[in-house]
Amino acid sequence: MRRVALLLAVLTAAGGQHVVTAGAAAAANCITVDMEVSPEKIDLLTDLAKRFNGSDRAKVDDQCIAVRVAKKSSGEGASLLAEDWPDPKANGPRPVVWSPAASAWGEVVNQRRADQGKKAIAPTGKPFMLTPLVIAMPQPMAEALGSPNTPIGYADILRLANDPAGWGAFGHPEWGPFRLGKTNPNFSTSALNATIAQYYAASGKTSGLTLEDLNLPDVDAFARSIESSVVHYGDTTLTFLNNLYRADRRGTGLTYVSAVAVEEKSVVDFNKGNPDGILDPGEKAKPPRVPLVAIYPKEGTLFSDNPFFTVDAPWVSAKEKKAAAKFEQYVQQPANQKRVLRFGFRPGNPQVAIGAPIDAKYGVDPNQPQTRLELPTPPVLVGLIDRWGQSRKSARVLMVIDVSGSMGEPAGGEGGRTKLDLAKQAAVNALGQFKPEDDVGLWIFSTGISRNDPTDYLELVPIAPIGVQREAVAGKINDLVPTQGTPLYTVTKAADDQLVDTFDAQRINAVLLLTDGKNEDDKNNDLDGLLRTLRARNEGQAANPVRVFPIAYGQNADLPTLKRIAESTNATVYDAVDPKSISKVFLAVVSNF
Amino acid sequence: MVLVALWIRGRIDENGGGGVTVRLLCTTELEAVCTDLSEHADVSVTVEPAGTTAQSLVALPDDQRPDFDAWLVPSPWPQMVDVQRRGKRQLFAEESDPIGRSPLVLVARADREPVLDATPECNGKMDWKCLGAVAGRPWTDLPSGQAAWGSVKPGPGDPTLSATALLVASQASSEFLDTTDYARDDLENDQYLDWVSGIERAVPKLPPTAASPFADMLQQLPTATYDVVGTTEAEAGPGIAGAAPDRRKALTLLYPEPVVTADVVLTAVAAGPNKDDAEDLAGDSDLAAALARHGWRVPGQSSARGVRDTPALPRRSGLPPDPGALVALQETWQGVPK
Repeated sequence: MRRVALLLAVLTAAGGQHVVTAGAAAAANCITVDMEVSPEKIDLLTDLAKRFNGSDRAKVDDQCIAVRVAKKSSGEGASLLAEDWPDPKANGPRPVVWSPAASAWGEVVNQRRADQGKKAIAPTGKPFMLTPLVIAMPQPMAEALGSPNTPIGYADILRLANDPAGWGAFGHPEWGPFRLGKTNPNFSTSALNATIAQYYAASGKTSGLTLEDLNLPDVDAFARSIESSVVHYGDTTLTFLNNLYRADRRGTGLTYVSAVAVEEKSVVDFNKGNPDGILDPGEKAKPPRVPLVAIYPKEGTLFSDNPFFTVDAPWVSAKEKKAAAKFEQYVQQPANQKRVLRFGFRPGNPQVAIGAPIDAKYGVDPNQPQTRLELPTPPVLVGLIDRWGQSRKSARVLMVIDVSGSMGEPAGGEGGRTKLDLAKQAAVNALGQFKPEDDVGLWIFSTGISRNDPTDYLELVPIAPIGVQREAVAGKINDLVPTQGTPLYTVTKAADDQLVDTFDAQRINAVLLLTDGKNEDDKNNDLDGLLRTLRARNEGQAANPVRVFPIAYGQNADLPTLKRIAESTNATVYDAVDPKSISKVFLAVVSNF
Repeated sequence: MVLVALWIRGRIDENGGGGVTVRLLCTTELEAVCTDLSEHADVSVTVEPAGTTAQSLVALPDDQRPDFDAWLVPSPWPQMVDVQRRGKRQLFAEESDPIGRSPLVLVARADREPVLDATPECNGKMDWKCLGAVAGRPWTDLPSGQAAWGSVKPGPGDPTLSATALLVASQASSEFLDTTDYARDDLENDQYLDWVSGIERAVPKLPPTAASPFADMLQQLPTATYDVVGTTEAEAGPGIAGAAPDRRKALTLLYPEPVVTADVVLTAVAAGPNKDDAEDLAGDSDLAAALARHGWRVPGQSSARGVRDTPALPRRSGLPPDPGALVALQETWQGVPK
């Protein structure tokens, strides 16, 4: 069984790149305020920090202040603070200010520190902007449910998820079954909030959720049924939104996902044509063909309230605290709160009215939500995540690991370990994240790895419940040695074939493909053919989708090609260019299952 | 309990650079006042919730001194500390006269106030007594209540932590008990305990923030974090007046009767090294001006936007004369099933 403590300790560490922002380099003799923020607001805070650093307000006792902003997932920040932020070289500088997506993460940190006999480190913080959790649906689907005239609740959405007729029950059999997009609550704030809301709906309550409620057979059955409609999980909602956006461009969005639990801000970004909220150089926002509509559940919802925690730790000096307070005041100023609004968040300063882009043009309603759901008590929260670990949709995963000669190259760092050594360790660790009922198999690939057909890949462990073969899979992984070249396209197609042929609609069917190189197979160089096949298998209302989640491992991995492979199956690629990051990345990939 | 402290050192007074710097401890509700004051007077300021201060002072051994010279907080928090230090050295000198005053108010969602007024429990006049009777009930149980509003959600605050919330709890209790001079045994009555429990059970369980219930309510509009909260006019008046028009229209400010006031006093540490300088601060015109700027009614100072002349303030605060009664009130509210 997946344990919450373990997940909070390790899973949240995944996906948390540390990026020191441009324009915020610490000036000599200034008081440096290092700030770690959740990823969805990195652009906004970078912008505000840059303006603040250049303003007259960036001073304490005539000494200048330099705010440096970096991003870290809320869960990773919580894990690091619980452990006094170890290894600043790897994890980034110890923060003076921490701004996770929601205040609840501060409670998580303090609770975990209390469990270790340590003092609290996250004081109660003041929220400086808000965004409610909503259910985002393609507009025609929302309208089919009666939106905007009929109030829609979680229970209504979830009942539809359970209806075997799917969208046929609403006169749209062409949309196929109801497909729900949800992330993993051990990683993602919106997923945690969505799971809370789901259990409220299952229990018929809007407050006072108890551990007893979670254990009621009806509630459990309801939760399992809902989870069965999930497309796949994952560490961030941006995966769904990016995939949906691409599917929308191809005109197939309605058969990818029917509803996704996301923050309101994400709906605004999507409808602007910027699904991940970040415009890369040269990228131009193009509105989608089919916009999303935010459903504000009639039972109430939860908020990401973006607190500003000035960390109460020995590494934060009184001067840094004063400097942090100056920046917090700056962020709260009406002019800056209007910037917050431009980024799609609701301003925390009530002097600033909620206005564009929080409006109907972008599929959201400034007059909603009308009420909030309560945050369950910490024991219920933990129990709820535990239950989710058991009731989540089971997975059927084929792990396909590259054992080409280049995997034997040194990984860098201490100990002289090879890339394959690190990958083996990461893969074995990740096995612990599967629940016993998940089916897992193991292939390896390299040109000419077998004397018999197929010559380029080898089945080491057939797909079967991991509960009975965890040790066997781990043993086979530990025995891997590097061999020849990289027949990337052949093995991708073969692995996909295998899962399509044995597709199980009750599970998330996926290939986890780890490779450190580019295709080196003269016999098969047909990337376009591969992509066409994969795409055809994943589109349409009758599709039996198999997601391919590649890990681009090491500097020589063909990241652009792997990205195209992932996107052709509505999955996402994971970047482990630095081999030392492979453990974190492996866990992030497994969070999809 | 989490300590939230902000430390701000005032600039050195240009005329008296060698003078004593008074270490002023301010309750959270007065953070903005004290920040302002530190720009004008020679003070160093620490800010924390009154309950946090009180808890540490009650436990302070006789051979230790508080690490501040004076406490700026609504009365009678300093007296409550000394009442609880039974058998130990008294910490505080006499409270100053009130420097700034503010009536307690109810802030309600404008669309919900008429619905509450129309209930038989409120009988045309919403107050804490009737709120306790309807708190937690689905709005659809009340005449013209809407399903989208969920249940009736009061926000009295935490009387063990917040100076304002303690006064709100006292005002509410006085309404229920029909006297301002209540004592510990009055609070042990079953009907009273059920009523308090009804309010406390209906308070939404939200992630903890440093904001007051009123600030949460205003910030999260149009979402009903709370439907009705208790606070001071000093917080709600300027807060509503300065809010964006859509938020302003969404809230109604009510003055329950009889009026109870939050009276800001400055109390020096009795054996403190800077006692005299600290006590002088009570008459400081900068302090009076800062209080007025932030919504407190101060004689001779112009009122902040959103602060009215009416209702006129009574001579006394409307709190029980015995500070021990407020200690008992804290214990009672903390102990009821939530």
